[in-house]
Amino acid sequence: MKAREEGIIISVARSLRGGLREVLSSNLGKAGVAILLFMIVMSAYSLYVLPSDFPEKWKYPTRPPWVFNPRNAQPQWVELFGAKVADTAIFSNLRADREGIVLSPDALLRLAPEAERALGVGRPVFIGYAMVFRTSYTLDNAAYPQDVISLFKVETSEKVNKSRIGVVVLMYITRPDNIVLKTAEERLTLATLDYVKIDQGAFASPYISHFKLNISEDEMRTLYYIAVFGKPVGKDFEPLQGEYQITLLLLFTGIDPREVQSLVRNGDIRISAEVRVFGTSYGLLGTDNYGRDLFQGILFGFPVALAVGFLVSLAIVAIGLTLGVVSGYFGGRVDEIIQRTVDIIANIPLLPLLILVGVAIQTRGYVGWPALAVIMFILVIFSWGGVAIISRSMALSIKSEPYVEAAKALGASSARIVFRHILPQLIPYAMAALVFGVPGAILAEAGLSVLGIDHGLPTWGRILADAQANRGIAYHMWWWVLPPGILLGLFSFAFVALGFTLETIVEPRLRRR
Amino acid sequence: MEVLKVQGLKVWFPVRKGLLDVLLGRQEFVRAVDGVSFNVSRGETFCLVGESGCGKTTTARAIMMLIDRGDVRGGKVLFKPREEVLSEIKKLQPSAIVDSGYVDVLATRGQANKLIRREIQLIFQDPFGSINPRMRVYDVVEEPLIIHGIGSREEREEAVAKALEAVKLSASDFMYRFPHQLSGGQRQRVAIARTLVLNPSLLLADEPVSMLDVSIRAEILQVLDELKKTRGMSVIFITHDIALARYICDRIGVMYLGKIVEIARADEIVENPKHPYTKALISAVPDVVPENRKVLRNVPIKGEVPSAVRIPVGCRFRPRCVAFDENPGIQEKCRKEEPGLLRVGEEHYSACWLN
Ligand SMILES: Nc1ncnc2c1ncn2[C@@H]1O[C@H](COP(=O)(O)OP(=O)(O)O)[C@@H](O)[C@H]1O
Ligand SMILES: [Mg+2]
Repeated sequence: MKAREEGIIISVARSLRGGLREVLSSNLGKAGVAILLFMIVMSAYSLYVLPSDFPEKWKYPTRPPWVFNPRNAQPQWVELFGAKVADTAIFSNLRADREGIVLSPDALLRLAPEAERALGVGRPVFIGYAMVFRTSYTLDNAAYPQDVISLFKVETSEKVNKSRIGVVVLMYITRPDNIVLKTAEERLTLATLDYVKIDQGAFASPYISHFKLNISEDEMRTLYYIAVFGKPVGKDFEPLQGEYQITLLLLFTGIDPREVQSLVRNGDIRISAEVRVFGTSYGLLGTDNYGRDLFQGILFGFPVALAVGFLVSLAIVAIGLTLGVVSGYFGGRVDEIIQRTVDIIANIPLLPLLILVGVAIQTRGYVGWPALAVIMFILVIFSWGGVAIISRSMALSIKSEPYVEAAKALGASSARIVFRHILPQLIPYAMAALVFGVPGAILAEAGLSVLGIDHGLPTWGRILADAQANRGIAYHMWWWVLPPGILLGLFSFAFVALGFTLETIVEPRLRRR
Repeated sequence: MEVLKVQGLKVWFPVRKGLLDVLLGRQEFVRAVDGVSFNVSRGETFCLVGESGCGKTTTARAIMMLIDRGDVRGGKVLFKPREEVLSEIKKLQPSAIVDSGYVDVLATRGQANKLIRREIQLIFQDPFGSINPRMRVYDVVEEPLIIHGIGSREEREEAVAKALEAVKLSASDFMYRFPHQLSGGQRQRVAIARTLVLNPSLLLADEPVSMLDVSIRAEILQVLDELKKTRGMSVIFITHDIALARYICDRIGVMYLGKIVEIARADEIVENPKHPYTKALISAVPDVVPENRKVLRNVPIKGEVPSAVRIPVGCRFRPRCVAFDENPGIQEKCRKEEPGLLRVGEEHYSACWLN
C-alpha cells in the first residue's frame, strides 16, 4: 500500500522530469523554455521595481514624472554604434554652494557673476538673501540637448509660512564660448517653488544682439534649444560642444534677509535642487512623444502579457472543454443547445462588437483593469466555440470506444465515465490548446489597442498603438515600435514552440517514438 | 436450474432514413436480434455459434443492458441472482422481480440495475479496445471494485492481486504497467481479471480469442476453463467456430440472421446436426487430417447472407438452403411460414420444416 503510493508519486515525478527532458531535447523546445523563463524573470522584476500606481502615472503623460524626461529620446546605447546623440544628464541633490545676504549689486555679482543681467538697467538696488546652485554639463557630440529643467525640493519646519516667503528664481547657462544666457526668471513663493524650465523668451534678444543675427525675436523663440546649445554658422546653426555651466540663483523677497539667514542656518529651511539636461537619448529604450520612459512601459507589459494570455486561454479551454464534453457525451437536447450557441457565437462578427464595446467602455469612463477585464471577458465568450467543437467530436469518438462500453457494463456512472475515461484522453489536446491559445489572446489585445480600444494600461499593444497614433512610426522612432513588436513576436513564438513539443509529450503513445 | 432465461428477445436498430423514406413515412430496421430464446443452467457453459453479423454480439450486449432501451423491441431477459442480491433488489425495485427469484434484467433501474451489473460480466472481443490505454493494469482491475464501493483500499489491492494471479499474471510484475506495454494475450487476461474481481455468477465471453494469435488462444481458453471450474460460474461463450464450441461447451445454440435455428448438447449437435445451416457449418470446419484439406469439399450452402434489413419471409434460411431445392414437397411451406424450434431429439431442437 505504501509502496503503491510512492509508486504514484515517483511515476508522476518521473513523467514530469521526463517531459522536461523531452522539451529540452529539441531545439524548438529549448527556445520556447528559454523565452518563457525570460518572460517570467522580467515579470517578477517588473512587479518588484515598478510602483503599484504605475499604470495610473502612465495614463497621464503630461504630468510628472514624465514632464521631467526628454521627449522622443532614443535609447542611450545608440551612442555605442556611433549615433550622434546628446546625453540626458541628471544632477540630483545639489546643495547651495554659496549663500548670504546681499546688500548691493556688487555683492550679488561677487556671489554669482552670471547675475549681471538680472540687475538690468534701472532696477532698484537689491537687498536680500541669496542662494546659488551650480553644476556643469559636457556636450561631447554634435547634437542639441532639448531643454534644461531645474527641480527644487523644499523642506521647512512648522515655524515657516511657506507662502509668505517670495523667491525669485534665475537660471543662467554659461556656454563654452563664455556667453552667459539668462534662460529663466520666475517669481514664486517657497510654497510654489517646484521647477523651472528654459523660458523661450528670456534670452532671445541678448542672443540676437550678441551674434548680430538678422532674425526676429519670435523666430528665435522657436529655436530656443538651438540658440542655447548652438552657434550660428552662416545662415545655419551647429551644436556647440564643450562644457556648459548651469547656475541657479534664488533670491528671497518679502522677508527680512537676516530672518531667512537664521532660518537657513538653523535648518528650518532646506532647499536642494536637481538639474536635468534633456538630451536626445534616454535610458535603455528611450522615451515617447510625452517623455514617458518606454523601458518602464515595456517592463510593465511582461506580467500583463503573461497574465492576460494565460487567463484568457485557461478560461477558453476550461469552458470549451466542459461544454464540448457535455455536448458530445450526453447528446440530445443539451447537445443541440450547445451546438446552436456555438454556431451563433461563431457568426457574430467579433471585431465590430469589440470595437463597440470598447467605445462603450470608454464613454462609461471605465479605464485600467476593469476595462481590460471586460475585453478579456468578451474574448473568452467568443472564443470557446472552437475548443468546444473539437472536444465534442473527441468525446463522441471516445464515447463509442469499447472501453467506455466496458465501463458501462461494470456499472460506472456518467460522471465516472466523463472524468475517468473521457477527460484524461482530452488532456493532451487541452494542454496544446491552452499553450497555443496564449499568444492568440495577447495578439487580440494588441490588435484591439491598435484599433483604438483604450483600456489605458501600458501593454505592449497599447504602446504600439500610441506609436501609431502619435506618428512615432512616421518619424522613424524605431525604439518606440520595435521593442513591443519584437516582444509580441517572441512571446507568440515561445508558446507555439512549446505547443509543438508538448503535443508529443502529453501523448504517451507518441512518446515512445 | 436455469440462471438465465432469454425469451423472444428482439433488438431492432432503426436504419438511418433517406429523404424518400421520410417523405413516404417509411422506417426500416436492422433486425440484429429477431426473437432469440435460450436458457443457461447454473454452472453450464452455453455457446452461441454463428457467422459474423448474425447477431451474437448484439444478443450479449442486450443481456448486458448495453442496448438503448428503445432498441429492444420485444422479449425478456430473466436472471436469477444470488440470494443476497435478490433480497436487496426486492427492497429496491420489487416490480422488477418476476416469477420466483428471477429478475427482469431489462426493467431494472438505478441501484437495482447496478446490483445486477455486479452479477453479470462481459469479456469483450477486442482486448486492444476494451481497456482504457491511459489506465494502468492496477487501475483497470480495481475499477469495478471502486464503482461498486467494495472493500477498503487494502482489501481492494488484495483482490486485484488475486484476480491477476487467477489469470496467471504476476501481480508485482504487471500491476503498474500501461496497456501498451502488454501483449494481446496479456491484455485479454487483464480484461478477464477485471470481470473476476466482482465474482459474477454469469460470465459472457464474446469471441474472447478471435483477435489473438493462434499460439496464445489455448492459454486463454485454459484460464477461462479453470476459472469456470473453480468458481462455479455459468458462462455464455460466443464464437463463430463450431469446432471450438464443441470443445468448450456443454450446449450449443446455432444462430442465423438474428435467430437460433438449432440448439442441442454439444456432442449431439456436431455428430447429429438436424438443421441444414448447422450441417453446412460443420462441413465447413477444416479437417483434422491435413491430407484431406487439399480435397475441395462440397459445403452444402449457396449464396450470401442476406441483409438483416430485408430478412426473407417464411424460413429465413430458405434462399441459401440446399435441402429446400432437394425437397419440392415442402417448398410452399418454407416460403410462407417461419419454422419454430421443434423437438427433434433429447434436448435437441431445430427450426426446419424438414424435421
Ligand atoms: N448499434 C448498431 N446500430 C445498427 N446496426 C447494428 C448495431 N450493432 C449491430 N448492428 C447490426 O446488427 C447485425 C448484427 O451484428 P452483431 O451482433 O455485431 O453480429 P455478430 O456479433 O454476430 O458478428 C449486423 O448486421 C450489424 O451491422
Ligand atoms: Mg460480434
